[in-house]
Amino acid sequence: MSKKNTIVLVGQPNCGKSTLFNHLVGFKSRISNLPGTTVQLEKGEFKRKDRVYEIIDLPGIYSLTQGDEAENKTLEFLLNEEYDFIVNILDASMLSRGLELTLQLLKIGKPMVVVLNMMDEAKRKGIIIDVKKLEKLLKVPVIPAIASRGVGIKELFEAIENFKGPVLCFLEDLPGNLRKEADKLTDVLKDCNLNRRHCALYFLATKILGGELSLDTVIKDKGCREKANMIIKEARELFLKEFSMEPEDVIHALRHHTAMTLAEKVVTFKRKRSLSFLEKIDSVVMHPVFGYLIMAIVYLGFFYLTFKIGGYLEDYFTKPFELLYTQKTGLIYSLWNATVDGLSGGIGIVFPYLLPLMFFISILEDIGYIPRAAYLMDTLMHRFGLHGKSVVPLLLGYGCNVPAITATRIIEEERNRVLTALLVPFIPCSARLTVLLAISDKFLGPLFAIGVLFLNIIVVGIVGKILTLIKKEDSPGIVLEIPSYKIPSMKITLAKTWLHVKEFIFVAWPMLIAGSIVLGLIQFYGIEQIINEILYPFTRGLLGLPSKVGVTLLFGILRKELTLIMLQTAMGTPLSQIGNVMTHVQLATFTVFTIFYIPCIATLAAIYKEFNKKIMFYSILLSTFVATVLAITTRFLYLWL
Amino acid sequence: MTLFDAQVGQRLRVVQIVGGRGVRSRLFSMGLNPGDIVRVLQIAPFRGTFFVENMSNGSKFALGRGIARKIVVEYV
Ligand SMILES: Nc1nc2c(ncn2[C@@H]2O[C@H](COP(=O)(O)OP(=O)(O)OP(=O)(O)O)[C@@H](O)[C@H]2O)c(=O)[nH]1
Ligand SMILES: [Mg+2]
Repeated sequence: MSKKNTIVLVGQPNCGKSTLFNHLVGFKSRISNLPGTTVQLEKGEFKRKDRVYEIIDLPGIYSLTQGDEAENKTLEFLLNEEYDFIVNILDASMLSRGLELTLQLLKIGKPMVVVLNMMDEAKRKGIIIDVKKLEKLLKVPVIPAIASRGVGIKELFEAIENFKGPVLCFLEDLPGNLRKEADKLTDVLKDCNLNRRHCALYFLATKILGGELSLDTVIKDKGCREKANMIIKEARELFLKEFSMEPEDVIHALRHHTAMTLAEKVVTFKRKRSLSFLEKIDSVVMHPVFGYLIMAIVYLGFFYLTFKIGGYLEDYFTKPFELLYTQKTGLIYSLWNATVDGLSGGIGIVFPYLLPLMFFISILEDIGYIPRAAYLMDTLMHRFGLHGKSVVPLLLGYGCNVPAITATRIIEEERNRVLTALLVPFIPCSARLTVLLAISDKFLGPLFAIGVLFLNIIVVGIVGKILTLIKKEDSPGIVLEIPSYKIPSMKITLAKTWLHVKEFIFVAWPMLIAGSIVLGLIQFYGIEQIINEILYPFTRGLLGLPSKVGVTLLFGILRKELTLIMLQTAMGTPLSQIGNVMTHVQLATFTVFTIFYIPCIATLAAIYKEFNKKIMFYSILLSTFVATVLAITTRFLYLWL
Repeated sequence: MTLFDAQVGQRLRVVQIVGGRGVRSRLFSMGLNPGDIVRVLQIAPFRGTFFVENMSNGSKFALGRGIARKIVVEYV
């Protein structure tokens, strides 16, 4: 067979789909110990023997039911797109819940293999699974695996290659009347030219009758939808009369029961479960008092370590570059100096902070702290009419705002999603943190950095409060799964850190160098001065900054690191001596403005893509306004102190 | 009683989940079902968010107070 096979990875959130995916196609998909990490489709190629497979990683889905933005993406894909094979991944330590999804997937009528992932977790919890028996009961191959260590991948593909079928397709079990109605709806679906096997159509019909699937997901034709709607109404009425229960409750209860019975048949507990050390930690980490203390320590410790390690590395990395500067004048020499600014700025100033920052973020993500922080912050977020789930994108924002904007997809309510996306750009990403940490390290001291970070949280709170007052609405409570702690695998942590470093070296660094050269050029031809003069009333008048920073702030919109790197070219001195040409007040004002003003181009593009132009403009206006107010406050407060 | 009235450490059985279709189907599919034995592990300050373990399958959840009010439970 030479045809390319498309394989989709489907499973409940946090079961290890992306980990398996990355093993197959190289590190491409984000992984972290947080349900809802993957929020968009990822594709990659995997070659084995002489076959090429296209592997698709989908966002996790609890059940084939309408859910949040990310889950609906998966649902749409599974029901409407073309693919050849389903690889259903289950968290073996939570078998019975996982089987509820498996039972539904079996009814789509595609070739399927089940992967029992996290066998190590199951073992740790004393759960033993009779794999052979499960295979017999489900009538599809079942492969035990530990994706984080690559265990089971060979067996998985052997099972796929040897898959002979026949592809079974089970009809959903339904009580009396509902079965008849489902038959009727199946016929309508067939007439609507849904080109599928009978069992798959029947499955869709039960999903729709049970209210688990909206009609629009399945039927695009309006006439058909009306016909279907009639049957649905009739069925619900009939059903309510007979059972005095909603159909979805009955369908769900049946499925739940089947899954539980299945699990009971194959699972044995080795010992009475005693609390492991990892589980005991939660009594402190989630404690109503100590939990917040620990959160504060984690937060400060995180920045303190980054600050210390970054400052230490920076000294080593920048020194050699300072020897490269030349004192001569002329176009060539100023361009040379600008190039050195870009080169040294990237490797000497940004990189030393980026490295520890990304490393620590990766560890926090993999341990499973982020959903716990979301729990701890939930009550507070309610004061803003948001809930704890908004904390997840906000925390991810410290790494980079772009994935943080996409991560808002895990928030079910559209209003909360928009509000969270407007707040994300206020979180200083690694680029802006670098500016803050590097300037604090050189001139303003660690207390300034802590002060700004603290101010930042307060500002997010105030802006959030104001925004939610404008768009007032009661938000329903949080429902978030808190996964068990996982010990971060060094390999994955390093791979994740490398992913960011790679992006920095190949995308950001060239931009920093190019930016510096462009500045060198326009400086030489006097264009810079014109721009600075236009911005003069703002930079000099309002913020009290040297007018030369005008152009760097403009370039900073491309990439926030540029504000700092180009400051060297603009002021004509390496960062270590900027203190001679700018006062501390000016440096503080500059830093505060940089942290809060217009999100970078990439973030704006992400907002535009996720939402629309209007929201993007709101974001620009909001951030510029807030940044200006805060910078002016800093200017006068600093003098007064 | 509902989960909202529960104390930390109590073991309770879920009787039913009331409220809209959205909330019910969400909780069901996340593995919180009538008949399950749950335990409140922590409650955030100001009777805020509930940290709950479903002892029937070992999953854990953060549930807002509004949601906790919709989960009818009884003592085991
Ligand atoms: N102990 C253990 N941990 C694993 C295993 N496979 C994955 N993990 C960890 O489980 C967590 C979740 O993995 P992901 O691959 O992000 O899960 P996912 O299914 O893609 O999750 P979503 O994208 O949220 O649906 C990560 O912290 C992984 O390192 C495994 O076999 N054993
Ligand atoms: Mg994933």
